[in-house]
Amino acid sequence: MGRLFWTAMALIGAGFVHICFVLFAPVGMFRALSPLETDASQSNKLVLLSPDTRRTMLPALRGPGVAAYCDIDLTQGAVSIVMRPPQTYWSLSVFSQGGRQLYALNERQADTEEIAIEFKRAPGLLEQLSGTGDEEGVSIIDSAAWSVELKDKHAYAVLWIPYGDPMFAKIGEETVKASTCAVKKKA
Amino acid sequence: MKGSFQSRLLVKLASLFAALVLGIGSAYQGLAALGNRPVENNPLWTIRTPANDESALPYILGHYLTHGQLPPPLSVQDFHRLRDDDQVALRGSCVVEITGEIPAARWWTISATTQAGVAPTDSNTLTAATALLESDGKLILRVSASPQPGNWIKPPANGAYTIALALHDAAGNGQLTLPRVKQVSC
Repeated sequence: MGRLFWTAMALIGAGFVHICFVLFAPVGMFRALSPLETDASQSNKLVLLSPDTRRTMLPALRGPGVAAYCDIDLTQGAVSIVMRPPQTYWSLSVFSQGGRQLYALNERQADTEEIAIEFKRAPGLLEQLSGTGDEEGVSIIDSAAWSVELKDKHAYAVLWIPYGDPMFAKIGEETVKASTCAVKKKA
Repeated sequence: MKGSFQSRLLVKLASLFAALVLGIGSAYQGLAALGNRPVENNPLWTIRTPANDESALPYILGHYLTHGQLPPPLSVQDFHRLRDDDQVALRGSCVVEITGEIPAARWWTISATTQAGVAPTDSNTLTAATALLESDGKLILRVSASPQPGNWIKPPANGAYTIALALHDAAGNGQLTLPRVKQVSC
């Protein structure tokens, strides 16, 4: 009877461990295994990825291209990405810490010379109920071309500019150098 | 009395150990296998996408994150195959031909990758911009360790590899016809 009980407990415990592992371990493992520096000093910076890092970290983005990455940290305030994209095909994707895609933009949707996207924390339930949102945040959002409210404190933005002719590599790199991902200064 | 206590403690510890081993082992199995589905009408091609599989989503996302990778953007359909049309495993020591039309997309790449889906260099990839298409729009591409006439990419190694086709912003949501893969020589 005792052994049957402990066998059942082992199976229930295994189910619990399975669910916890699938839901929580991948987020920590990504930060531990990612080839990028993921400490706080590297947050809110647009980093040009080396081809090797891009191939390892973003395996679906293959072939010649320029990739840049920003670890968005909203604990310091709203973060904005400002870029002057090239005329060729490009895409910007924003992922949650858990890898779920939150936002995407490409050159057809943007169709403009300069893009400014602001990321801000979504108000919590208490803030929504009491109506005590960040008033300064509202004015910042009004002045941005695109604004995105995120539930998490962290997110990952990936800019991808593929090219066929190596001549376009320089254009892609210049685009990244001229672009920023930074905490928005309050007016 | 003491022996009975030790025996019960041993059963409890064994139960705890079994829960950890079974739980973590089955989680790893799930992350490796769940959410990787055959493509309709192209069963040798598989796709692991967060776009249309909400039930397996934690496993699909977890699969990438546990490898230190981010999943493909939702605008990218990333198809893979491990075997040719005769169900023979793809090997770098053989010459393989990929033929057919590439579905309409804003951008596409076709690569010979490691089994983890990573193309070690850009010479393992042909893109929409560099491919030479036949007059009827079809693609003929050879995967071989030695240079081949026409479109050619190198396999990542002499051993087993994977062919990966990534469609960026593909047109329409209908059924896709994906290229055929035949072994030419070995």
